[in-house]
Amino acid sequence: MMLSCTDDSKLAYVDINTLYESFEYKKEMTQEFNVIKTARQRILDSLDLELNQISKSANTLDKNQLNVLETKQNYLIQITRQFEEENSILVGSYNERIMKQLNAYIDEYGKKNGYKFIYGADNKGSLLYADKKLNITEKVVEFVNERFKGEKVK
Amino acid sequence: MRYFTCILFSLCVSCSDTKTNTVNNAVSNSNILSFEKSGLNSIEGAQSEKKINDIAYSIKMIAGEDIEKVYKGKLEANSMEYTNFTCFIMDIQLEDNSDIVNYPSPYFKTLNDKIQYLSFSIKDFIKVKSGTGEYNCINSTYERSYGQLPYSRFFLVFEKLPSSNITFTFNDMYFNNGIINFKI
Repeated sequence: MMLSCTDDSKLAYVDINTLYESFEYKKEMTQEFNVIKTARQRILDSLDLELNQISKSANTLDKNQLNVLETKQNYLIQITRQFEEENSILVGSYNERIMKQLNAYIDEYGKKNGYKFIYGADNKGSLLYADKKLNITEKVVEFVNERFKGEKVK
Repeated sequence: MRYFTCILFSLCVSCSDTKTNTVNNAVSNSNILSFEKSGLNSIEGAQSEKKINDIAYSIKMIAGEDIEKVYKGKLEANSMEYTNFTCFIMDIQLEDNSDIVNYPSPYFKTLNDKIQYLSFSIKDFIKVKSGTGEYNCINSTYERSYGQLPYSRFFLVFEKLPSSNITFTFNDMYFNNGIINFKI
């Protein structure tokens, strides 16, 4: 009974990590995020450098200058937190976009090729064993990247 | 007079009901895209479609001389003014055929923000690659249907594209689907 079920079913699996890392849109988004992250880091670095220079001569500062230093230190703490939060939100939003498109294209691939199941292997135990012949990661990577570039389903 | 008003009101309601039902019946048979339903299939032009989760996108390039056919003589301006441009029609349709304005967009929370984006800002997120050049959308028109049609239509105008090898790119902020490419 079990044998006849699997005989009729078209099954395959993909290595999720390889698929995700090889997806062109993921690469583009990572690049975009790194640009934003680096720009923000530059702002923080220059603020930090300025504070360090002022701090070195802290002994010679009068009360007003010390107040300015404290305000700037608070600002650095505040903006660091803000950037961390914004980076985290941005990563979440980018991941959502990547996963939405990836899922849509895998869905198309499965339907186009008549698969009943495509399992995701993530090396965390969700798929304990599968015959290597059923690994379609390369084909799926090629398909999702073609679809992302806008190619029509052939 | 009151009797006449009642009859007139009943007629109006029944007419609009019939129209809505016809549209809904026309779309219920197909689960993806709107071109078949909207009659655009009869117009010649390269097209491309994608469905990302519950949102379907259809892009069709329309020759300037075909614009009159699409709008069936309802254009106020002379459609010939578009012959020196490359025009596209983009339909966006939700799986449940509801109005996209009612969709809980992650970035556009209020109705006003949604309408502002769909009517004016959306063109800043659309570009086309043709040959070696990249072209920005120079004009967009959002055809709001107030839920009476299962899709929302955008009429998009670009300068005349030099090559037939075209990639249409839409950075969808509204549904947070990101950059979606269509080879036309």
